[in-house]
Amino acid sequence: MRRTAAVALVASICAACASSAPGASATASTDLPDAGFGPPDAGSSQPPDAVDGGTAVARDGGSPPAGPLAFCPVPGPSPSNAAEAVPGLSTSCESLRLDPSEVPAAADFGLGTMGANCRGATSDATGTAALLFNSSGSTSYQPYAIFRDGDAGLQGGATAAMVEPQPSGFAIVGAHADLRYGYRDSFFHFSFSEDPPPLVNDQEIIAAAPPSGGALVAQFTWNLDKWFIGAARFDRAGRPLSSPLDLVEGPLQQGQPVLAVAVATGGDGLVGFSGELLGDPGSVYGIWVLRDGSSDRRPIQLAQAPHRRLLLRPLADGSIAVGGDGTWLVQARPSGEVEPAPPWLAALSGHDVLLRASGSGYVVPSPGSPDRTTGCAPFVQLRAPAGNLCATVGLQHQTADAYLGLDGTLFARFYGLPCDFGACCHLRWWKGALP
Amino acid sequence: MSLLALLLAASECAGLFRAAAATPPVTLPGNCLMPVVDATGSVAEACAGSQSYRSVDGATLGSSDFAATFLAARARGFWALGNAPDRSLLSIDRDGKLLGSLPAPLPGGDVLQTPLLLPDPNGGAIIIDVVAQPGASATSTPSWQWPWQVVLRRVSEAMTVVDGPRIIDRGPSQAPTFQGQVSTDGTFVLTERGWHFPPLRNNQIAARWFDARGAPLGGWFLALDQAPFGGPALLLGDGSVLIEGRYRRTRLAKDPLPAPVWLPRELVTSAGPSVFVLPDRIAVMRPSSTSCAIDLEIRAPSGDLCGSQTLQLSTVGGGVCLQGFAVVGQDGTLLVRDYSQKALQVWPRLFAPH
Repeated sequence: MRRTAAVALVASICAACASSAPGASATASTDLPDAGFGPPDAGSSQPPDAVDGGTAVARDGGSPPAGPLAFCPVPGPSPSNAAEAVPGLSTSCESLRLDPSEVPAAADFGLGTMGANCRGATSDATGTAALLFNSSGSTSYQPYAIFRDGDAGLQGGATAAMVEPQPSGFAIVGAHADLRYGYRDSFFHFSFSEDPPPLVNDQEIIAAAPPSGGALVAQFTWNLDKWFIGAARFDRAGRPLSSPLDLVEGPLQQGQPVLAVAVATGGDGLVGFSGELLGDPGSVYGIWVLRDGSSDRRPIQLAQAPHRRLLLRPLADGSIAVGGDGTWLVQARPSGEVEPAPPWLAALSGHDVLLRASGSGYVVPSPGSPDRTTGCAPFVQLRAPAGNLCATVGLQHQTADAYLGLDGTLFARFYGLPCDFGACCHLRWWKGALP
Repeated sequence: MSLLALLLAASECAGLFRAAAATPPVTLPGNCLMPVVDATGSVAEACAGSQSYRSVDGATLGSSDFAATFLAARARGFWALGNAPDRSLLSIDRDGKLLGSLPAPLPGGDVLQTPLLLPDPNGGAIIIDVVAQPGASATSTPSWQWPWQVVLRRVSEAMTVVDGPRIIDRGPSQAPTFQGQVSTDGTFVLTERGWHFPPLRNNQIAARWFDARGAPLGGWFLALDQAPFGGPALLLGDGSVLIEGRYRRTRLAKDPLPAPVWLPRELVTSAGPSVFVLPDRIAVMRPSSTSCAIDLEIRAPSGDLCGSQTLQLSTVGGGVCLQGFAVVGQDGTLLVRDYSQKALQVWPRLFAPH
């Protein structure tokens, strides 16, 4: 990673920024060694080969976005606006700085046709990036990840539906969807472990990781009589903290709930689910799983409305925000209390809210159309721990989404840019930009 | 290793190695399935609707035209599944003569489901059918919700039913599809995904042992956890059965035990099975690090390593190294079948009991 300036500027004043250099594409090979990121399944962990136009093929050279990729200010609410701040939390914007001269790492992928796409990105605390893809429909939308370091280039790949960053490495929910793997399954494992995946299923597995490492994993299991929602906690070495717990069960005829997980800053985790198994499909419930893996298994009603898409996110005050179908509903505390979502959060319908690993503020992906006069397209909001807006940062190219890694790496995904054939994926990332 | 252990290992390993002289590669028809070899040294291959039988030394023994695929070899002859005109289980002699047949499935059974034929190492075979039929008051329920029964028949090598049919298990709905293995003492184990047998779950493999007449030796139990699919993969010399999922394996000696540590990670590779358990030894095969060869590891029935050797493969089709599936017959013959080159290399009776 090249740093051309050591002095960080507050993003909101970077209208005066000099243009940063064009994205510098890292070279990558299509031969993807496993490099220890997959489960010990003799090759099943590798991403599909680039044989059917459905797999990422990295391009060399200065691919799009062409020209300068500078942060730019987006007009909006006053950065000093603290009216929406949560009392008792820091309103400081001091640590929310982006270096306008930082040259982002870059990767451009031609993905072919039939629904192949890139789904996201994250990074571990060492700065290794995980770039997430789905291959094309011809390979059953096989999810996979490519791991790369801004300095060392490609490190390997793995089947990966979810990737949760660890201090070094990743917790991975893998999935064998492509028929070439034979039976379809999903499995949870740590990239740094040679042990068999501790959880294997043919149903959904989801995971969330705290910044300190380890993971909370939730999954469905079932038999002829019942559905079960279970959870398991793992420490930062990948060891289970307890046997998998059954949190809730219900008749098979009730249908499968929707599921979400998150870990609060204090280490306790919340498993959220729609209420089918409790005979109340019109509500959303949660059960806390503590940092030691224990749980009182007491369902807490989080919302009295049906939601088919749940999203849980940690907040700076130690609570977990509960979102349903794009709306932030409530915040749940490990004490069992449930409160309305704070106003600043409730106003962010349709936006993800990414708490920085340090807890010192939020990044809110806010892709938008470019301003006709300045050409500056909204990219992310930067918010203080109290929720007050510090800045809306734009880029000179419209983004599709933004992601934040554990080391503070800020990722931008672009779309609508030309590539050789079919879908394109263009990623740029600023390593350690917002730790 | 103690002196006693060394002596025991040396005793177990005595005579297990012999010179490995292969016959020259022979060219065979394409579109053939994996060959099977009985204990008399008859090699049977099903190729595009017909079958050929030759001795491991190359002599033609016969042919047949049953539209059948071979299920297993036995002391003399073979078990097969016929697909025309109706589905049936066949017993075929070493030269292709039909010894007997049995319609499959049982009346009332699922015509799309093949009965499970489990060769008994002591002779004959056990045939397991799953029959799902509507209950007295449930004729309007969909067939997948019908109660099911597991029906056992024991057949002779002439495919004569010598025991049964007998109901050995039953369930309320969603008929299972079993896998199984007969042990050396005549008991047998059935396995299926755990969700059929609450409180077991979808990511567990359930197993149940039965005695030789089909009486259950206990209930369904958890054989393998964190395994949404898997089943019997190998009968070990001590009569225990290796159960394998994608990431895990266990050894069932009536109850789950750890798998032997000497087993290679992959029981089946892209080149076919890699472990063959014979009455007096275990052969483990791997592609050799040297070109055009197979690395062969011989172990005593206890799993102790007796030694290893490298078998040179021939080149066929203009200098291409023969590569394909390895098969070890019941007579100890090793075959390597190259499908793209339509060639077969044979080491007659390489592992024959001494």
